[in-house]
Amino acid sequence: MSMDKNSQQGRMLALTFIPLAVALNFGIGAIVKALSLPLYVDSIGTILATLLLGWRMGTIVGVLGFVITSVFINPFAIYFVTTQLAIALFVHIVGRRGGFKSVFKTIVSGVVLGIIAAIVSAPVIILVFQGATGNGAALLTSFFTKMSNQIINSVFLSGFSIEPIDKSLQCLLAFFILKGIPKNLLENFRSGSLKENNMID
Amino acid sequence: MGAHKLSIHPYIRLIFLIGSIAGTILINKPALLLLFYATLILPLFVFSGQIKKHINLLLFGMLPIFLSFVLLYIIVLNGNNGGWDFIVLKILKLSLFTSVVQITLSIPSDNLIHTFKKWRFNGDSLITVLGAFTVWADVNYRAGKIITARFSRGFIGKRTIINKAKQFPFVLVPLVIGILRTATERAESWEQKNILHLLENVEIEKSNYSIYLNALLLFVSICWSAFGVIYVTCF
Repeated sequence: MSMDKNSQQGRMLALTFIPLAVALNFGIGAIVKALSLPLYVDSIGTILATLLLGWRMGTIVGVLGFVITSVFINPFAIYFVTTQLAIALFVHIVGRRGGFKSVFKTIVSGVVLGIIAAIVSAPVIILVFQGATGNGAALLTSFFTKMSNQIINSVFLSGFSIEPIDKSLQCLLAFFILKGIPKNLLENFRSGSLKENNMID
Repeated sequence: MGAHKLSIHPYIRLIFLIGSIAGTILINKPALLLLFYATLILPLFVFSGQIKKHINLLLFGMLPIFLSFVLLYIIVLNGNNGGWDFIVLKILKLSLFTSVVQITLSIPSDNLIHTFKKWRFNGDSLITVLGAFTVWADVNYRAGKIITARFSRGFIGKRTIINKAKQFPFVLVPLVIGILRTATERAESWEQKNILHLLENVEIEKSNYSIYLNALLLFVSICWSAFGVIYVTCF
């Protein structure tokens, strides 16, 4: 009975948290897009939701966030929903193994996440956008193309240059955000990997 | 003409999305794509009162993509891998995909529950999509309030976008704490009210869908996708 009550509470918490995490992805992505920074910083909601509630919820946040973002601010976001799935899965796996326990481990997790995100995003950038995505990364792709004359290699190179920095930054932001939150508030979120990362007892 | 008169039936929305995207994928003639955009898509945005939102998307979404195409294919590659024709076709297709998705998912708030229910969302998934489509305004409002508080304390000089972006790390932690608190409070309240049951049984007022508009969209979607098939087989 109490187990049922707990699972019902967890379900309700997920239902109320997901839209708010989607909005977080959306809001942060909007600021970065408006500034045309050579970064994305559009997956913090996904990373946080995965650490708090697990990979399924993280994926829902990522996919919904990108669909809504593509309607309002960033038309190409919708093509990268598979990257969000990859992010949620990786953060979940690494989170379960304590990959967000310390600053160093978080940076390492972010770098590996960046490499994975670059590999998953590259086919979309090549097939849909032919290398020109309209953000800061496209400038880097142009630079590498000038050097090598090869668009496919340049897309991978620019991805490998930007994504690890971007994802490390996002993982670090998520780490510091969670560290800055009172533990009694985090205690409600037990279905993710907070415990494995010493964020709750 | 009010947005209500341009309400699109949920099934027509889906048919319009699928038909328009299918046609746009198959047709490779810029003049035809431009004609489709100018005669149907653009008037839809104008009459539904969403033209400003659409122009924003074109200016801040499509224009940078266009410029990066020019930089990569014209300036860097000197047109060797594809010239202006290739860029125009690519940009038109991307603009059409974007516009069609924008029209399909720009659902008036009074039609949201009806539309998602017709799209077979129910229970947890219904409440999740409804929340995702409505809550972001609340989060933007909260972020604005935090920035205003920092502004009134003298942490921000002028309210430019650069200065606002510099406030990014300082806004994030209180914002996420606020989000977690709201989520926890709402979860308790929703559980007590049995929100899922309430939502399943909510009486939806029948929307007054414009027959002419919906018939037009249905007709155009079918014609556009059928024309795409003919274009591929004949040209």
